[in-house]
Amino acid sequence: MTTLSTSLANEILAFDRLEAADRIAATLKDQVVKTLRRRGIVLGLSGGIDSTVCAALAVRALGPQRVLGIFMPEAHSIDDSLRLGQLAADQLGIPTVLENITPTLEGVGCYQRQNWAIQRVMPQYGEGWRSKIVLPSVVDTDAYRLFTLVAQSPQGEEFRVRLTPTAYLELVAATNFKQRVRKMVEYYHADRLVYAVLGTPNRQEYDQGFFVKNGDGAADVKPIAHLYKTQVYALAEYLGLPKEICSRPPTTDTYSLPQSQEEFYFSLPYALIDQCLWALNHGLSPAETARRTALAEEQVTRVFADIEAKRRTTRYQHHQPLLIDKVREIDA
Amino acid sequence: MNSVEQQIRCFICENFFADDATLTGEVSLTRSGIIDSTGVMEIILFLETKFGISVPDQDAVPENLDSLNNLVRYVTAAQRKAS
Repeated sequence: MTTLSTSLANEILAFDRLEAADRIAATLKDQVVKTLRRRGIVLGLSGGIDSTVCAALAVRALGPQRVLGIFMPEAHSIDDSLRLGQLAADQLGIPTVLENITPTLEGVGCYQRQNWAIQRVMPQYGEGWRSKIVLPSVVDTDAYRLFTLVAQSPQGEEFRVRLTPTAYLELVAATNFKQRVRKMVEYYHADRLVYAVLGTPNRQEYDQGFFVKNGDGAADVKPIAHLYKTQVYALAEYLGLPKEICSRPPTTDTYSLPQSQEEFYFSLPYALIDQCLWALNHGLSPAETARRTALAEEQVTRVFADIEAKRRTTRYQHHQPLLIDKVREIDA
Repeated sequence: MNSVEQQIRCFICENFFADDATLTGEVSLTRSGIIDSTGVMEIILFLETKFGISVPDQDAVPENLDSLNNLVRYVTAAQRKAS
């Protein structure tokens, strides 16, 4: 039973770590130096698994002195993010810059606009309160998953309310300032150094549109977008990255209350999403997938439908600006 | 006074650019790409404000909300229950 239930997980992990790391590093170097004609790589360091692995691969490609790591904490960031980011940078030996983006976010009204959006559904929300958006699980029911705001008062009392479409869209739009300001800062340093900006999405995030257009979705190279999340963790271990980072669960580190990627977007632990995504990409039926994961067939069917729905609804995220006529001299 | 069906159809066509001519009662609004997860939220809000019904989370299922026919059936039943 154990063998059966973990067999898909094992199959995803059956890849040559050394070959993968070397191939990514060689391709990355070629892309940055020859295709983009840049002299190094800039990336944001969040202390998470993806940015740490990307930094290590960038070092493998160009050496530590050609990689700049940027810490960009803001008022809602977890303290751990900066500490773990520094831990990774120290181990890799790369130069770093600390850019506190809180004043910029205050300047564009990010926090104020977040509060206004939340007050549409929770008028008492204000100074000293914290919040996050959560979604119910995808596997247990066919019900549409409606976004719920979870808020905590300064006294620690928890409140929950279903978000209206306007409140939800305004809250997400205001929050997206964070990813977009970070990207603006990354490109500032890339421009002054003639470096390329590295984007850090893994396959789940890239495939399922879990990024902000022109925010963390903007980059010159995305070296781990083809890797499943469990493969990224495996590569992190192979590369000898700090254990604390390798064992840290994925977080959005975006809202003022701690929020996992699972409760905000994927609605399922990342390992199971990986297994279902892998199965769907390899043409496995829900029945076959269920035999090789810890999920029942009807649960797999729901996850497959959710993956397809996310692909459909986030296609816009991947679109380049659309032209009326092709400009052949440029776009050939 | 427009019928429930007409009011919902009008909302879907105007709000989501659905084609009135091809929007049959059975068309799946999500699978056909007419609405996404935000669209579901918008439809729920429309039902609650337009028809004065409450749509609890457990009622937010495809059998109630994923087609014109299902929406009309759900609203009619909810109104009957309330009266």
